[in-house]
Amino acid sequence: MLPPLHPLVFVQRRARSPLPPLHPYATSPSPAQIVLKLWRRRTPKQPSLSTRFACPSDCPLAACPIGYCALVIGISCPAHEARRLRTLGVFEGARVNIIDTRSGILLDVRGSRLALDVTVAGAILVRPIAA
Amino acid sequence: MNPVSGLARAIPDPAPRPLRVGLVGNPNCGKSTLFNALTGRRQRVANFPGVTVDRAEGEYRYEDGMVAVIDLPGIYSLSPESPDEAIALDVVQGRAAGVPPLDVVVIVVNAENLDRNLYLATELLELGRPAVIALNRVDRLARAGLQIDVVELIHELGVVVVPVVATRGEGVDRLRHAIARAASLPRAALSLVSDAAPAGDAGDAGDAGDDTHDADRRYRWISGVIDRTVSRTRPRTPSLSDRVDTVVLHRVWGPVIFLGLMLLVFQAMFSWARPLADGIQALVTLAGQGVRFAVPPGALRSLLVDGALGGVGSVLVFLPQIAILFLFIGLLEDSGYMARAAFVMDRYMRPLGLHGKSFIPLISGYACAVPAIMATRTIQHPKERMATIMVVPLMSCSARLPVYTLLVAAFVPAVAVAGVFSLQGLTMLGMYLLGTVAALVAAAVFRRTLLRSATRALIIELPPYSLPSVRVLANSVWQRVRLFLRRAGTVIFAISILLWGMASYPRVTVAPGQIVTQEQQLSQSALGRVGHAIEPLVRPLGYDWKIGVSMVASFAAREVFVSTMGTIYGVSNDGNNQHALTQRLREERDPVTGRAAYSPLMAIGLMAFYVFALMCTSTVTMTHRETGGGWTGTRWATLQFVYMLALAYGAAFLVFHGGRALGLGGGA
Repeated sequence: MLPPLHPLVFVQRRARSPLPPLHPYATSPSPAQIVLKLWRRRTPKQPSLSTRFACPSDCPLAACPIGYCALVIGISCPAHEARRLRTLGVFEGARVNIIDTRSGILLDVRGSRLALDVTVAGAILVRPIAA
Repeated sequence: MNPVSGLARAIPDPAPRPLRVGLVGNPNCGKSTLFNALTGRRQRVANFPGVTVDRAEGEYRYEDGMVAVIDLPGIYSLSPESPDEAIALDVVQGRAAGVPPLDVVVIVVNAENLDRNLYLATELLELGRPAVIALNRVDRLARAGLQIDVVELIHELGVVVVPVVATRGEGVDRLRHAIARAASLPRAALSLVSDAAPAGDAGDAGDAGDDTHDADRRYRWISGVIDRTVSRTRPRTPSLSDRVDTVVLHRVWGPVIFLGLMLLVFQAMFSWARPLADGIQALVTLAGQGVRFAVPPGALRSLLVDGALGGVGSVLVFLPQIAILFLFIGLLEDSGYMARAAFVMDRYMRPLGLHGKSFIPLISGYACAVPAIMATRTIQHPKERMATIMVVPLMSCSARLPVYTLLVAAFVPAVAVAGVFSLQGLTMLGMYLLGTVAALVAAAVFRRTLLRSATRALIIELPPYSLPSVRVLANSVWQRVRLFLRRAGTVIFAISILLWGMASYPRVTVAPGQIVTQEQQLSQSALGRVGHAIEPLVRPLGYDWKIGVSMVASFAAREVFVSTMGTIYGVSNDGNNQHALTQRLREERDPVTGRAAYSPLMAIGLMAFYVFALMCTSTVTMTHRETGGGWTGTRWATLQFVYMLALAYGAAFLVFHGGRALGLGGGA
């Protein structure tokens, strides 16, 4: 059973598109502009100001902002998934770096890259530490 | 003094038992490369009994003794849940059926990622077996800004640690020496989790508390070891791999890049393999000509040319495609891209119940189902792998193309639709789409019925990108080709000969002076009789016995349908004469009513039949092999054949009668 979605998920979503919705009759972007915009959606080097203060307390890993370091507090997956995670270095008390959360969760765990889907990442409770 | 015992003492044991060594390590730690460096070309790939987990074995000579090396699957821990890890655990503990107990365990550790790799190493060291640690990829440490104190590491772990660079063969001789000595060195088992049961025997999976404790204690111990042995010469910087990943794992660009790569693989299998396959076919034909010169006409010549050489040809034509597909899979795996591809595609494959890696076999299925089914080995999850195998033959393979081409050319008018598209092209496209959609739907159905399992979590390690080694690649391609020839090739060959026999016997007896035509012979043969016998079955689909015979004959391979139709209609089958055959098909009249025997509707129905029907002994053989062989394999292969045949019959019936009900070209 998944824990209810953390409100921060929505904070995060809003933070991603800071522009107000365009008026429907406003000029639509050209295909080239769309391509450019998609290309620029890269991992930010530093967490943006809006997310730096957005994660005050424990939250699911899925809701943790990019660029943060997080301390794993609890894992509530089924037992065999939890064991797999622990052998890969994600255990209670471990520190992980969040590299990317836009399409699945990408973590830096003790120097190796670990990719998780949102379901698994939602079942891992973490405490964000400053980036 | 007993002379016999004296003699026995004087003569050394003629074949001393080889030293048995097992390579264990995380996935992507360079284990296979080290295995190649140790054993060279003296190796073979087989299966562990009962499961389709690759078992690579090889040997080398060291100080007048043989050393037999077995490469175990790449694993992260010794929990007995996944088939790979259970096998590794059994082999290390000497409990695996059919695998003699190991004398020495070589733990391959990736130096770049020492602490994660040491997790498995501590689990293995706790088993108390003689062990050597091969510290691989030490050449990359400087670039990563790391330094490892090997002597200190030996003190901490209490086993011999040998730094090696497997890709360049550095340190391999020292490793061989250490292996030879390890068996005789006294060693006490490491005990980190002494009060808990040993890793493998912790039976109940629900013991999460204990698990946490175990992982925590191990990692705390490992952290201490790392603190004392590894020093960082300069701070971490984002690696090139990370920068590549921002694009490759991108929500939009990731799938685009993957699809581009798949297009390349597909292109390679479809068109690059064609000239090679044609070359092989030409060689076989040439050999047939040679036999024709040497052997007088008769049953023996027919057996040699049409039976034996035909069988050899039908096995060999698969080789280019298998080699090319496994070359690409090897490239993708060894470069580190495969894990990314699985991650990127998992989102799209998951609703169908398939794995991200299922995509590659499915795409390869457009070229040929045989290598595609072999390629499902990259999928670790057993049920997802099985579902992929079951649906891969629904993808329209290149052997269906001649059938589609013949029928489209004969019965679909070449008119333009919407100005630009030709109706013929659209019909072909429709057949491909039909097969693809059916495969995806069938996968979803299988995963919700027979192959149901709990939703799988996606937890993938993404190894850093690296340049694949040519030697390892060439070797893995060669091993696949050999596996195919030895396992599937023999069966395909035997079935080809059997079908030849059925098409040639019993022979027709005619009055002397008359010449037996091929079509008479075929119609009198066992195959022809089967064709006649099934006529009541194919009648509802609108077919006559001639198509029935061709359908039965095409069980050898789908493209045989075209050549059999050619034989029945007495059109010499040179490929150039296909035009003549399409002409004959269009002119064929029903003997009773005098109207055209074949309608476009029937042709579409027949194409739909070939979209679904598993008319390919090679695929059936491969499915049997890859679903476990023996009785299990037989059951899965039968199920696959039957469900596809049922789909095919249903589709052909629906097209024919549905079309007629709608008043489309009924009897015309």
